Amino acid sequence: MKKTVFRLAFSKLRYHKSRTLLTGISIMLTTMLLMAIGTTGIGSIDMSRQLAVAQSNYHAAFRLTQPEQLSILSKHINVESLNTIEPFAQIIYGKMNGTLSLSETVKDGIYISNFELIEGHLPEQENEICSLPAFFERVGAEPVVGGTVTLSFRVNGKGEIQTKEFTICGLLTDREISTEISDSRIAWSAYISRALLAQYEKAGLYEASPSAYLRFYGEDELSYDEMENKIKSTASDIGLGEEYISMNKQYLSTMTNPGTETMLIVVFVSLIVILFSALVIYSIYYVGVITDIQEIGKLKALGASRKQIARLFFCQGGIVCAFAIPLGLLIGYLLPYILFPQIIQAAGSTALDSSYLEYLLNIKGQIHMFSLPFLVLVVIAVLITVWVSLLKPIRMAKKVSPVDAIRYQENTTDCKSRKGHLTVKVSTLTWSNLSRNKRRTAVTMLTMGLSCVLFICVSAVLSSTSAEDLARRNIKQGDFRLSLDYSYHDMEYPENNLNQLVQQDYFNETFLEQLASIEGVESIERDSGRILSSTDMESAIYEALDNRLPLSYFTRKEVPQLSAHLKAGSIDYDRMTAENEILCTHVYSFDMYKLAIGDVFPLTLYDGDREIPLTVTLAALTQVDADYPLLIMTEDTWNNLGLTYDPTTDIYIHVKKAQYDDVKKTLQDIAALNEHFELYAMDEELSIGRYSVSMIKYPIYLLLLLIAVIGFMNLINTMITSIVTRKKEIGILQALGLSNRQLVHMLAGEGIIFTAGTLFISVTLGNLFGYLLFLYAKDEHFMSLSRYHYPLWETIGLTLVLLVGQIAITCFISKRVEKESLIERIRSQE
Amino acid sequence: MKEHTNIILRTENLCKYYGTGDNLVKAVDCIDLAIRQGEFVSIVGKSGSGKSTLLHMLGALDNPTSGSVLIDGEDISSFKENRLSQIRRRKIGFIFQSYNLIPSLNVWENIVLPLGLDNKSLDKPFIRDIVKTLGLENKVKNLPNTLSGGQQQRCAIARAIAAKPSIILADEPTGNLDTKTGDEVMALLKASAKKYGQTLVVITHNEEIAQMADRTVMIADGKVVG
Amino acid sequence: MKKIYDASHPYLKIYFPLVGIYLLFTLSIGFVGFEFLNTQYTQELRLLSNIAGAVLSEHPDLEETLLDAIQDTEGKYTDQGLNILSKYGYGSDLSMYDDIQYRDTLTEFLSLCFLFIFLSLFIITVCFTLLDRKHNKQEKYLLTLLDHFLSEDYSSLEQRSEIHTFFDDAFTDALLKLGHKLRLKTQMLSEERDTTKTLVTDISHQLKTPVSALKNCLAMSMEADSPIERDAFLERCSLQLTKLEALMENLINISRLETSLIILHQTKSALSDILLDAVNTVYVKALQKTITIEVLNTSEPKNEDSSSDLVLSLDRKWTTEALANILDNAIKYSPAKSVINVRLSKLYSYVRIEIEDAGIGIPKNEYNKIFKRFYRGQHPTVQQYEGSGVGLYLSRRIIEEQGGSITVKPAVRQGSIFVVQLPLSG
Repeated sequence: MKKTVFRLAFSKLRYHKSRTLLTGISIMLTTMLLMAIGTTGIGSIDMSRQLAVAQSNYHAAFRLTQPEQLSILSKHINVESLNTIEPFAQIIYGKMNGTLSLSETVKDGIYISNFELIEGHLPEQENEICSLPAFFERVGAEPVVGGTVTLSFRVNGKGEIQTKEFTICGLLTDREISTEISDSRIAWSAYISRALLAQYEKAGLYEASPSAYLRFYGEDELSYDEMENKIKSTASDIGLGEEYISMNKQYLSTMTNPGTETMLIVVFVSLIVILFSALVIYSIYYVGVITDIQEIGKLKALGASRKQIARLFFCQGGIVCAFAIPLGLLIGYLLPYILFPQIIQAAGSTALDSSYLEYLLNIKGQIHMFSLPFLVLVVIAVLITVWVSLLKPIRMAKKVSPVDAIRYQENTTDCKSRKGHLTVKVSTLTWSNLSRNKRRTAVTMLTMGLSCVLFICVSAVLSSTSAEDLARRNIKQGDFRLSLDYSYHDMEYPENNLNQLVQQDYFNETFLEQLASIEGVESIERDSGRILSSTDMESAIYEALDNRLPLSYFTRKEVPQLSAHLKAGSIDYDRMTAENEILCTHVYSFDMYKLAIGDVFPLTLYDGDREIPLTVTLAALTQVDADYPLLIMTEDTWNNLGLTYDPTTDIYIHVKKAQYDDVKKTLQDIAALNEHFELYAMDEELSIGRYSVSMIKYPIYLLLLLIAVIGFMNLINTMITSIVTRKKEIGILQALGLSNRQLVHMLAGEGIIFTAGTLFISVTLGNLFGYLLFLYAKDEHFMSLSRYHYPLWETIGLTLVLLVGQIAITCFISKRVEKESLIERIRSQE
Repeated sequence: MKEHTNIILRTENLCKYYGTGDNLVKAVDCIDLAIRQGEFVSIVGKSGSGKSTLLHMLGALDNPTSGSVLIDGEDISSFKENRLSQIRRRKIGFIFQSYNLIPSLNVWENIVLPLGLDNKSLDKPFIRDIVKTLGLENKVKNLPNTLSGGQQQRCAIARAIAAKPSIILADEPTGNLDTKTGDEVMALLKASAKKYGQTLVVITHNEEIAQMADRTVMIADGKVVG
Repeated sequence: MKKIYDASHPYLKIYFPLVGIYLLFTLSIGFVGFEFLNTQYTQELRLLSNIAGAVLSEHPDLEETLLDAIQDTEGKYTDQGLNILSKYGYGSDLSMYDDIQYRDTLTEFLSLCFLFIFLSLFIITVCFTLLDRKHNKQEKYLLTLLDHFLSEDYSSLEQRSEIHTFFDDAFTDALLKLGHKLRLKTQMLSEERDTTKTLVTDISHQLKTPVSALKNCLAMSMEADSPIERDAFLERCSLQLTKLEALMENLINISRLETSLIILHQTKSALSDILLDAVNTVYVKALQKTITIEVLNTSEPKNEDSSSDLVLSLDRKWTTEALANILDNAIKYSPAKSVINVRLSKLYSYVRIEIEDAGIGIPKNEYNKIFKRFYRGQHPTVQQYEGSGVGLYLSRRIIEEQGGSITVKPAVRQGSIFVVQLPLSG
């Protein structure tokens, strides 16, 4: 019995070849898309995991206070692996920021980047040393095992400078370290042996202050908070307070919530894909049931039960799935498997962040992308999609009564009569055909329309993304930006902090004049300047920014512009000056840091070494795209502070087009002179911008294209079924004298109405939603959108593709219909 | 004597074969027919006797294997598809067993469809007269699926007559109707054909229907037997 | 009662494996649990020995305290121990899952449990499938058997053992009983059919003889010379004359109709009047044969105007004649004391008048011919009656001339039905 149903389903599939093919392609595409999206997601999650591991895989570092803490830690139940690093001495070599330290593995499993032995062994003798080849080169020694190097150092960073000759016993990673980065910004490390330490310790010259780098059990199972608790409880077990813990937050959050954001995107996109394909598969089956009603009726008349009818349909769906899903899985897996590393490689060639991408280049091709549970999930998702799309058609099929086998005439319009026309033309036929099955027409137009709406909508945003907007993120005005490279709150190298840097007065008048005198420079602008502030209050923003927050000011002239985008509170320049009120310029941060209008901050401002106390009140929230820091005060308040040093951080340089390259070279030379200068050139920013735009644009277009293809399947199906089911009717029309040309006109007319409807929906709704989406994206600062750019080419392209596809389908089908003889068509179903 | 002057439809040695070799089926085997203007001829035969094939060839829907069909003295077998469409919409009206109305068009539109396909202007009083004769006055705006079988077939008759064709070909016009309605439809068909001076060729396996005809042609195994 | 334990009972068939699987499952879990506990005990013992070894090798003096602690059930030292151990993370809030050693064992245990569950599910599925297959086999066999019965093939009745391999005793017997009963009925039916057949043959044979005798008698009387015989001959002649007269009248009508000498004047006339006139015309003839004519209006009740006041545009005289001809024809070929039904019904465009007689009926191949001029049926009965073959032709001409139609079809039981359709509106 079951066999019969199966065989029937199989033969039906073979009979309706085109429908089977279309459903198959739709299911295959759906599977492929889901698989590809997921695989890419898994790949990128894995990549970020690998990146996190590449830095270092420790969970937390404890600064140990007592020697016995180490032994307790090494035997602690929570501890998975343990490494110690003892900073022994500061290397004295020019401006070099180097340390001699001892690294020991207590419990295996900690990986620290730049600590991979590629040659030799770790130091054992008191005069042995190992480090990066670059280090030895930097200090003027030949990086070969067995070579010698003489270093000066101060034990514990104080006291007498000692000089000692070391034998190089090992070389660490061969990764290249950029030599262009200034000395003070790289922390060099060289590793020495326990023997040397013991020697100095015995002599009472060295005081041990080891740090323990730890991994804890449960990385794969526990959440971030649970891990944090575990780390803290372990620390408290050995009597360490929170201040002694330094967690590897980036690594931990990467490992404990593996790509929640990526997953969210994957799920969201997958849901869109599922929605569209479900709609399409549903409509294909829906149309299928409508056209099969007579046949279903016959089966019922022969005694098929409702259950068998349902099984027949599920069987059909199942058979198609059995072929389409594996194919889709394969293609969906292979596509990103081949493309992903290439994208990474492409990303590597336009270096955005050299150290990051350098690593990407190293791991390409080894990214783990396959996940069996995910594969099963995709299969289940597709099966459920097909199942859901089948439910309604099956319910319809179940309701078919045996009488319909003889009596049924397609009747989905409820109206009994039609106003009609006095005369009938070919166009009347076209219209009446479409209006006969309004629902089918609507469903097809809607699915087609929706995918086109999606296309237009997204392309409105994408076409508005411009490389220039992205470039302007870094260079607000002019062609170059010379920027002070400063830190907020660097405890180890306080000289890099802004308040210290301003003391140097790098951007003094002489310097500016020197810049202005360069051949080709038109004008020079400086920004309003920044000043660092801190607060004793517990505040989320300050914690997020390392306890220092830059502040700036706004002038009376800017008030209208700021007021135009006011979101909360009120802006009154005089009141704000009088009351020491400040303004928040970013809605997103305002919400994230849980600020509120009326919040009072007791601030300390840092002007050089001077500390200026200032209590401010948060008066208003606005959203502006101009280059303001998060919190700004009035110009008068700023001036009242009586700053000793010029707080300028950025200089914008306008240049004559013709002399751009010359100026660039000169500026590069100037920037190279000072390690705190950073130069941003417009052409470089533009190329980076262009690259980022294309990185976003093309994958999304590809995705949209595939969704559109699924939608197109639906159109093809509707056209084919509408023609195949009307074969007889067309035959009759021809018997009544419809010529072949008139037939083609009629069919093409239908197709064009479909296309026109689809286009109408997509252009109107698409542009409307597109504009709304643009506004939203702009509000969210997605890709630094600024100007709305109408997606003209995309719209024209879509129109052309639809029209051409449409006409091609019509021609193809009518050719096929013509092949069959008139009599066969008239007789069909009789 | 009269019979030789007024021939509107004639077949000469008309054959239609399907398949080859052992599977050769002679659906129509050398049939010679001559139908006079205004005559009502019924073609009777069992199902599978080739009568439908014959009718299809008479109506230029199908090409004969050999022999010729002459409508108004013109041999249509040499005509191209376009000319055939013209012949079909101008000279021939078809009535099918399953009515074959276009479901998306209302009754009126169905009736005037052949005229529309020919870009002809409507002879409105004429169509109204037909509609009235066939008792469809109140149904012109209805869609076919809201009509009873008899009404649908009457609509089909109206459609066949509307373009004032000289020949009406009906293939089992009462096959899907109950006896009473069938009889009525046949009477209407006959009366209408008579009223508008059209030649009527009806195919049927029902001898009760055939007796209304002026002449009955019996067909068996593709041949005329009486 | 004994039946319940019959292993062939489907529910019991599934019951035993289920119980078995359940027992097996419980036992396995118990066994695994026991093994798990046992492993833990061994491990703990080893741990204890390890601790004892570590401590006592350095501090032999603590031997007594240690053993005291091992055997102590009150937990005197627990708090102190926890205090020391807690800095290694062995706090009282430590769960088994946090300890790597225990976790492995636990994972093992749980995965074994899952394995058992899956195994059980698998076995159950297999059982169900097997049972289902058996069920299907039974069903299939039953269907074939019933099929055989339906096609009157009772050969399986002789193979009780074969049926018994699929079904239990009671079911087999019931099936066999059904089969036997069916076979009996079939036999009875075919015997009855044979009896009827012979009966018909006998009757026709009986009829043949008197008819041929009548024919012979007539021939002989023609040759006779006596006056009495001649009288009879004359009587016959007069009969022929009357026949001829009737024929003449019809012929005149036809010739006038044919040469358009009769002009039909279509005036509004009530159908009931026409019908009444027609019946009146043939009334005497009907009375002679004691044939009743019943007029019935079968129009749908929703039609407001019943046939009594149906007014049509007809030539009253000639339409009456046409209907009268049909009625006359019906009376002529109907047996005495039969009923002629005249049914009226109003259709969309036509009034349908059915005239049904219980006469000899008309063979199919004559349908088209009876309305032809001078055609007389081939049937001996028709030949026997006088008639010219003109009446029906005339009727047809008159009716068709007025846009109506006339056809004939067989009546359900006997005789024929003449269907006259007259247009409702001119």
